Amino acid sequence: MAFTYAISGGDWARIAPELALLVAALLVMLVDALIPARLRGALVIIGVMGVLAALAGVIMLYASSGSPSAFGGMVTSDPLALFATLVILAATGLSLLLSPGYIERQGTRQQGEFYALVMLAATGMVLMAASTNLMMIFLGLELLSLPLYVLCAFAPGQQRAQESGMKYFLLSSFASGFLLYGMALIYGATGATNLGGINHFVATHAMSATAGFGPILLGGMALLAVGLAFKVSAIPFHAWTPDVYQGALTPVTALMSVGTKMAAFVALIRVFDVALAPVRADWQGIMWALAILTMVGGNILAATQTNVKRLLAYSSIAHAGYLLIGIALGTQAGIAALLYYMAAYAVMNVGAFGVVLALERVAGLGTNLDDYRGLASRRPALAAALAVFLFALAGIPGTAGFVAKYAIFAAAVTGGHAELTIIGVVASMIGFYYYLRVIWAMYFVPAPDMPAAEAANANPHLSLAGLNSAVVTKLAASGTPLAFSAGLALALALIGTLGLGIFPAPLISLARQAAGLP
Amino acid sequence: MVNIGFQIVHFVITILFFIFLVATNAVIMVYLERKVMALMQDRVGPKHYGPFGSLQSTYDVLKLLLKEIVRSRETDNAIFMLAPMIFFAPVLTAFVMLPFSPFMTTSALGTGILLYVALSSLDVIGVFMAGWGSNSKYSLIGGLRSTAQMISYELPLLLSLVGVVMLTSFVSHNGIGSISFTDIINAQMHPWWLWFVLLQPLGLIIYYTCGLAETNRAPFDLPEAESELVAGYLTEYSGMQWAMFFLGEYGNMLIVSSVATALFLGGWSGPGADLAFWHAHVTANPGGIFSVADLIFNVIAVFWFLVKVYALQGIFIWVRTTLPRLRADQLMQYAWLILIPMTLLNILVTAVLLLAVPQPYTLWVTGGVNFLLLIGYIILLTRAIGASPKGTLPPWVEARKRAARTGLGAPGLPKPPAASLPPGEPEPAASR
Amino acid sequence: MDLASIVFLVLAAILVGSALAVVTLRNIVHAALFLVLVFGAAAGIYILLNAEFIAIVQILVYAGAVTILILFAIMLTQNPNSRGSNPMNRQALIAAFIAAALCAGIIFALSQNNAISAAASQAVTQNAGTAVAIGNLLYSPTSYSYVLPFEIATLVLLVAIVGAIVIGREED
Repeated sequence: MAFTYAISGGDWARIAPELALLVAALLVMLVDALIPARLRGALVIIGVMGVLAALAGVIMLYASSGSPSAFGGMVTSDPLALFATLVILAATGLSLLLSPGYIERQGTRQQGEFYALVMLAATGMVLMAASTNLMMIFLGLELLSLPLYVLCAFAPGQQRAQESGMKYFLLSSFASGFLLYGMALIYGATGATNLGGINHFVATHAMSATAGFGPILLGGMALLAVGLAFKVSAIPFHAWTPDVYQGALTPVTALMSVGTKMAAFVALIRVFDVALAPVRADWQGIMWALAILTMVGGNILAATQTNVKRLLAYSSIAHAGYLLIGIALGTQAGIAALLYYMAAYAVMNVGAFGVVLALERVAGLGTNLDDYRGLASRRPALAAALAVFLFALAGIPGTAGFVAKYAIFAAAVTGGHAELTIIGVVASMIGFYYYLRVIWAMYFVPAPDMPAAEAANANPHLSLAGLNSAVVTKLAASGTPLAFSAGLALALALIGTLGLGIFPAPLISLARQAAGLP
Repeated sequence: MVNIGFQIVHFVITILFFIFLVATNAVIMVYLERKVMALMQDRVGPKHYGPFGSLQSTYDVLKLLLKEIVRSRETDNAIFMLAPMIFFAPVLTAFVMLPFSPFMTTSALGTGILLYVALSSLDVIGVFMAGWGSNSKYSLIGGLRSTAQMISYELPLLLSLVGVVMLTSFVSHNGIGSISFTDIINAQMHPWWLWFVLLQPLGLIIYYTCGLAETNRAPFDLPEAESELVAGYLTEYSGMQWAMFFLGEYGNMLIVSSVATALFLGGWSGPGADLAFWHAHVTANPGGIFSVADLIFNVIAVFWFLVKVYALQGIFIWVRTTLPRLRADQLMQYAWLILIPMTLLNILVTAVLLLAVPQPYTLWVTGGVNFLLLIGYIILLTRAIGASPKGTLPPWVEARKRAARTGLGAPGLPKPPAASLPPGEPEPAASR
Repeated sequence: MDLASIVFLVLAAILVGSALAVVTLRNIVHAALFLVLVFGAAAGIYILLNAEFIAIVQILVYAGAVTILILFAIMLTQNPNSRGSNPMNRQALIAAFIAAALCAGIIFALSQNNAISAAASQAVTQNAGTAVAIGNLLYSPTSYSYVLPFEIATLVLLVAIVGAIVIGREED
C-alpha cells in the first residue's frame, strides 16, 4: 500500500476566500501577542485587509473557469457560494469597521481575540456556504457557532452578555444535535453524505412508505429542517434570538444576524432545493408553514418591543420569514429573489445596528426606545441614517428593501403561491408600525425632561460599571463621538441601501446567475 | 504457521515473565535506589540483611504483606478500596505492548505508542480515586496536584514521540510510518544501529522528562511532597494497598524506560543480537519448539534490552538525588510554556527537514539540527528556571511586586524585597 | 457460540450496566467513574470489530481525558462524599423516552439500508480500523477527500481553545 496525496494546489485555490479570512485571523492573534496593549485597536486593520483579500479571492474565482468543485466534492466555488461569500464578507467588513471605539467603550481589553474570533466566525460562515457535503456543512456550522458563543459573552462583567452567551451556547448545541441526528438519518437512508450522492439516490428511488428508507429520510429531513431553522431563527425555533441579540455586543449581533442567516440559507438551498428536490412534495409543506409562522409571528412580536435591539432582533426573525418564502417555493426564481433579499438585508440591517451601536452606552444602556426620543435634534445625521435603514427594512420604495420584497413576492406569485404573497404583504404592513414608531420617536417626540444622566445614575448597573457621574453626564449630553471607521461603515451601508434600491440590476443578475438562471 | 500449542506456551511464558519482572524489578529498584542514593550522598545505606544489605527490600516486602490494612471510618469505601487496583491494572496491561525481543512480545498491536499513552492516562483515574476516596485534605490536594500534573505532562509526552514516528515513515521503504513498537525497533536497525536518539535527542530528553512527571518521580514528586502533604494521595493507605501503589510506580518507571529504549535506543539491538548470524553459525536443532540459534539470539536480545532499561532507570535515581523538587506553579509553567512549545517546534522542524533536505544528507541534517535544538532547549531551560527571578518567585510575590510597581492595589502594604518575605505569610488580599 | 460472541456479550452487559449506573447513582463521583467503565467497554467492542485505532483513541480521549476533566471539575467544586449530588429530575421519563426513540431510529435506519451494513462488515473484515488505514483514508483518498474536514476540525478546536482562554482569563 503506497501513500499518495491526491489534493492539488487547485483545490486550495478554490477555497481562497476562506483561506484569506483564516490567515487574517491567525495574523491577528500572532500580532496581538507581539504588540503593546495600547496598539491593539489597530488590529482591526488586519481584519479588514483579510476581508479585502477574501474579496479579491471571490473576484478571482468568479473569473476562473473549470470545475468549481474541490476536495473531492467536499466544497465548491459555484456562483451560489460566491454570492453568499460576498454577502458574508460585506457583513463581516462592516461589523469590523463598527467595532473600534465601541468595544473599548464596553470595557473589552482582549481586542486581539475579539477580532480573531470574528474572522474565524466569518471563515465558518463562508465555509458553510461553500459546503456540498453534510459533514462539511456541520463543520462549517460549528466553526461559525463556537466563536459566536464566545463573542456573545465577550463584554466582561456584564450579566446580560453572559446570559446571552450561555443561552446561545445551550440552545444552539441542542439544535446542532438535531441537525447531526438528521444528517445521520439521511445518511442512513441514502448511504451518502455528499449532496450529489443524496440527490442521485433520491432521484433514482421512488419514495414510498413501504420502501424502508422513506420514514428514515422523512425523519432526517424534519430534523435537518429543525436544526437549520434554528440557525435562521424561524418561529417556532426563535426563542433564543431576542435575548442573545440584545445581550451580545452590537457588532457581533450585526454579524450574527446576517452572516449566520446567509450561511444557513445557503445550506437550506443546497440540501432542500437542490439535493432533495425530487422529494419536494414532502418538505415543501414544512417550509411553507415555517415561512408563514415566521413572517406573521416575527412582525407581531416586534410590534410590542420597547428596546431597539430587541425590536431589531424580532425584525430579523420577520425577515427570515420573508426569506423562507424563497426556500418554500423551490424554484430558481425564488432562490434568486432570496439571494438578492439577503444582500439587501445585509446592508440595511448592519446599518441599523451600526446606528444603535453609535448611540449605545456601556452595559447595553441607551438602547431603549425612550432613549431615542428627540434624537433628530441631538444627532441629526445619525437619526437620518437610522430613518433610511428603517425605511429600507420596512420596504419603502427607493430603498434596497423594497426591491428585495418586490422580487420575493413576485417570485411567490409566479411560483404559484400567491397566498404567501398576500400573507407577506399583510405582515409587512404590521412591520411598518414598529419601524415607524422608532422614526416617530426620533423626529416627533421631544427629548425627555429628566436628563438621561440622572436616570443613568439611578441605574445600579451603571454604577457597578464604575463610571463616575461626570462621564455619564457628558455621554448623555453629547452622546459618544462616532469613531471614524464606524462613520465609514455607516456611510458604506447607507450607499449600499440606497444604491441597491435605485440600481438593483447588476446585483439581481448576479443573484440570478447564482441561482442558475440565465 | 505455528501450531496453537506453541502460541499458548509462548503466551503463558511471556505473561509470567512480565509479572515476575514487575515484582522483582520493584524489589531490585528499591534496593538499588537506597544503595545508589547512599553512595551519592556519602552514606552506607542498607547493610544488615544479606550481603551488602541486599535482602533489605525483600524483608520490606514481607513486612508490607503482613501489615494490617487500616481504613478510616469516613472514607468512600468502594472508591478507596478499588483505587490501588485501578492504579496497578494499567501498569500491568501496558507490558502487553512491550517487545523485549522479537520472540518475547504478546501482541502484534499496530497501535503500540497510542496504547501506551492511553494506558498511562488511565493511571490518573486511580490517583484521583485515591485522593478523593480517602476523604482527607492531604490526599485530596495530593490527588488534585497529581491529576493536573499527569494530564499536563501527557501532552508533551505524546508530542515528543511524533518525531520518531515521522522518522519511521522516512526510513521505511513504502513511505508509511508506524506506531507499533516492533516496527519502530526494526526501523532503527535498518542500515546498522540507526538508533533514533542520534536523530531525535531532543525527543528523548523531553520524553524522559515527561516520564519523570508521569511516574511522579523527583523532581516532579510534589503530589507526595513529604514536607507539605504528608504523603499526598497515599496518606491514608497502608499495608498491601500502599504496596500496590508502590509497585505500580516502579512498574511505571520500568515502562517509561522500556518505551524510551524501544523508541530511541534501538530496543534489543546490540552486539551479538543478530538472528541471521546465529542461524548461519548454529545449526544444531534438538527438535524442541525453539531452535538453539533462536534461543541464543533471544537471550542476547533480552540482555541488551534490559541493560538499556536499567541504565535508564539508573538515571531516575541519579536525577532524584541531584535535583530539588519543583514548586507547583513552576511545574505547570514548565509543561505548558516550555515543553509543549518545544515539542511542537521539534515536530515542525523535523517534518520540514525530512521533506526539504535532499536524500543522502537528510538524516545527517535532521540529526544535526536536532542536536542544535537540544542545546537551545537546555539554554532556554537554564534561563527560564535558573537565572530569571520571574520564574522562581511564587505568584503572590509576583502580584505584590506588580502592585507595588503600578501603584494599584493596596498602597498601604509594606514593600519588602521579595526574597526576604517570610514563607508562611498569607497571600495579601490586594494581589488580584 | 464462539469466543468473540461471548466476549461481546460480556462487554455489552458491562456497557449497559455501567451506563445505567451513570444515570441512576446518586453520588456524582461514582457516576463519573462508571462513565470510565462505559468508555472502556465501548473500546472493547471496537476492538472486537477490528477497529483497533478507534478503540485506543476512545480510551485515550474519553476515558483518559474527558472523564478526567469531569472528575477534576467535580473535585474542585463539590464536597467530598456528597450524597444525592446526582439527583434524578422530573424529566427522567421524557429523557428515557427520547433516548429509546433515538435508539430505535438508528436501529431501524441500519436495518433498512443494506448498502451501509455491507460496507461496515466489509470494513471490519478488511482491517480498516488500523492507524495506517485511517491515515490513508484521511490523506490519500479514493472517492472523498477528508483532508479539508480534518483541517476544519482542527480550526474548531483552535476556536475552542481561544474561547476558553477568553472566557476563563482573569483581567489583569
